[in-house]
Amino acid sequence: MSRKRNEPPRQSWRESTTFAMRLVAFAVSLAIMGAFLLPWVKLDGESDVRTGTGLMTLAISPARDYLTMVAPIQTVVLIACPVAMLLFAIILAAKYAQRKTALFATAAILASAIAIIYGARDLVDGSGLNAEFGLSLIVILSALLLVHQALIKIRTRLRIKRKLPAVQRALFIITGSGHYRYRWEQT
Amino acid sequence: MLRKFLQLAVVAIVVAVAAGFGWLAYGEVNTSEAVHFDESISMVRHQTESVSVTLVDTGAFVDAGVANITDVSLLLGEWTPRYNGAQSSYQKFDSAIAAAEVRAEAYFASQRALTGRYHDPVRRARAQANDDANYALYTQWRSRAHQTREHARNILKRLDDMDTDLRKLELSSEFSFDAGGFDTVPSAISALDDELSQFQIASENIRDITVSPFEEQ
Repeated sequence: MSRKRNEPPRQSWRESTTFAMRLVAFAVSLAIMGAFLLPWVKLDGESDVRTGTGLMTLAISPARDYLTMVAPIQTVVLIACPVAMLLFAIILAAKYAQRKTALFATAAILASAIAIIYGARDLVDGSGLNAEFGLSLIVILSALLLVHQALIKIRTRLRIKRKLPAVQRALFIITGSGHYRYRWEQT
Repeated sequence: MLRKFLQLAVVAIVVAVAAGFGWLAYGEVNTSEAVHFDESISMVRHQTESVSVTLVDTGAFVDAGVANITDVSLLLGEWTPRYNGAQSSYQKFDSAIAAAEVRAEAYFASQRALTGRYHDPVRRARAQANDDANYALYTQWRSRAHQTREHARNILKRLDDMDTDLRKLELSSEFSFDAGGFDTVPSAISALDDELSQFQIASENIRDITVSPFEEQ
């Protein structure tokens, strides 16, 4: 099937995959924010599991008095980390929407999530890994985004040094950072 | 156009998270003092059970464990997590009582303020009498909670002493192979058993009453 003279060339599978990977990476950055509405931790003595936004409301809750008396620093971790994580998640998603990376924001989200899991043990019910579905999801997604951004950095280095073109091409597709043509956006 | 669409998606999810936070914050701000007080009483009940379990567990280990273990480091390996757990539980129990007292003061202050709004002196006197009865029940609950805390503190002091014994034993074992130091532990155990039985009675008491200070009405 030959295309007409004025018709733009069809997308190759490489371009389609690159575009799909770009959208997947953006969706993952959005999912981190969505996870704030899912269960994060169950505090010792409370009947309900707290979500990310629920942990933020501890700042205005009378339960904060009790938690501060038990472990003041851990209480600060429980309240401040979700706030910082949300701010970084907004920065991250906004950067991904513009097809840019934000390595510091991703690392900060992962570090804050780990700080809640391991840094607030006295206040959280249970032993071992003190994370419910939402917090575990954030750890997994932010780790995936860290790998994604690390691969983009590697790709950039390879491009500058003009080495391993086959690997470069693969990274362009896998990370979604390569060129593609789409009806909405011509690159 | 795609970028605009993606940016809109970011804004939409930020709005959703902000709405979720606002909903929860609104709930927290508009919860009555009575609900907060009830939650703090539930917390005291939970921590009473928790401290009871950890103290009895530590006591039971001391009873059963010391006779069979002749190596100080093994004994400390078993002892330390239980001792730390007992200390942590006591701290939570103590904090839960202190927090409940703060909530109780807020609750009774609100109750008194509402009673003061009655114009009819008869109704006001009746409400005042009701408030006083509630407060009397609360003070009864508070004194039992303090009594139980006192028992728990005494047990913890014994556990502190036993921990010191074990640490001294560990220190002396660095230059001596004499296992005779274990003799000090059983005497501490017999004293601990008495304290534990007293504490168990007291914690049963507090568990009975911490359903709510007003349930006896």
